Amino acid sequence: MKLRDCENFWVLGAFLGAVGLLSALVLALVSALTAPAIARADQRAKSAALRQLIPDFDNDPARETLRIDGVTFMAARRGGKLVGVAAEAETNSGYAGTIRELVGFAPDGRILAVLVTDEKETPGLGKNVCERKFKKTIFNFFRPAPRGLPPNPVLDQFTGRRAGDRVDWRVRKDGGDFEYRTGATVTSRAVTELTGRAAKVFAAHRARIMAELNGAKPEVKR
Amino acid sequence: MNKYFGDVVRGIWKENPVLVLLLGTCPTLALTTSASNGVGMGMATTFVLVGSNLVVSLIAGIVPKKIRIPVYIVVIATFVTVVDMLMKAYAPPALYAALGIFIPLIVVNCIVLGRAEAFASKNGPLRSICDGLGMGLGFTLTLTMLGMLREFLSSGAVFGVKVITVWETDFLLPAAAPGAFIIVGVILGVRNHLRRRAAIRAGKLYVPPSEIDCGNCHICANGKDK
Repeated sequence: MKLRDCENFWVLGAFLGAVGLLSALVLALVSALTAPAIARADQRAKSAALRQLIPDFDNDPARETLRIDGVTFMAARRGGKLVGVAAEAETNSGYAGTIRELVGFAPDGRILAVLVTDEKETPGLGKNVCERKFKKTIFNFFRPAPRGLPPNPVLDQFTGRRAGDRVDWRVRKDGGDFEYRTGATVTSRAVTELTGRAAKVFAAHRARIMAELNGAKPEVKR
Repeated sequence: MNKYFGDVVRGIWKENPVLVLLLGTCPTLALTTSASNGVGMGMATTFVLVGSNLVVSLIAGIVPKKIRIPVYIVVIATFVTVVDMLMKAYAPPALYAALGIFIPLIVVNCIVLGRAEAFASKNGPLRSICDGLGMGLGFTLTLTMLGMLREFLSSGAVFGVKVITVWETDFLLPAAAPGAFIIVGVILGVRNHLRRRAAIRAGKLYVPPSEIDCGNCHICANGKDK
């Protein structure tokens, strides 16, 4: 009897099991082969994002991390000297799913820049609060893209702020200090709250962060 | 050679997966908010289609008929996951950023399973590859067209380049899901009209596909208004 016309319950089950096992083996093999390359690619992407936030560093900040209250701090140094700290934090209070942010701090606690690295907000509304993109039109199509971080009216408000300076980390609608975007209040609120949380944690634990990330023996985590 | 060429061309117009077979409507409606998204999804799907068609046409002879669908799904899912991992590891970051989010979604795309079941399991490897390529190209072209249309209507841009710079604000309807339904509906209507007119001109009755229940519908009326 040919396998193609087989109707035996056990044979069919065994065949399906064998196919599943084979595919699991293939996946395990490919996964094992690509895991180091994927980790390297992730690190390169993160380091490229950090380079937009903190001006000059020559170490690998993703390897010198410290986690406090759900915020991951990364040390960026140049020639061994601390030039900035990047904080990675996330919130679920966005309009759709998780919003993840990278906040660049100068050593004195001032925010250098804010970058949203992961979000699923509504295109045209919430996305406009999160996206940093140079606008391309037919009139500047052949001009080379400007250097530096593209502007974003909501995210740029945080630059230069510091948690110690009596900043109210809420949007203006709730009585805070920051403008929000009409039609995207929930996203603006989430981004503001998230940045505020990162800044407050940084301000509250600044001595510890400085000591651990700036010390002679930085805590190295892979 | 002609046969293979016919397999490729058929997917682009005569059996276009989106506009004629109406398969893969979910990614079509959800992802074509911009032209570059359409190109990305189309390319990723084409790649998986060619690969899964090849594998399915090779194993179709030994797979028991009763469990062929689950086996094909396992093959497709494995293929998609492998492609995803390989791209994550070795593709340039810009390419993965553009295509990466679409790749896991291909598993649930009916076109891939549909072609595995309807074509690849009954034909040889070479013809199956041609069919996958044609279907993929048809899918890519339709998605790109739809993406360009929606992007232009919502923000006056084509491939991210603003053509109309008078208004700063975006028009949200075409970019949202309801707008996608409306635009796809209009395109389908135009296509059906063209087919019907061509059929009447050729002196033939337009015969709607048998799987559509035409009992209560009088839109085409089988050439009555000639």
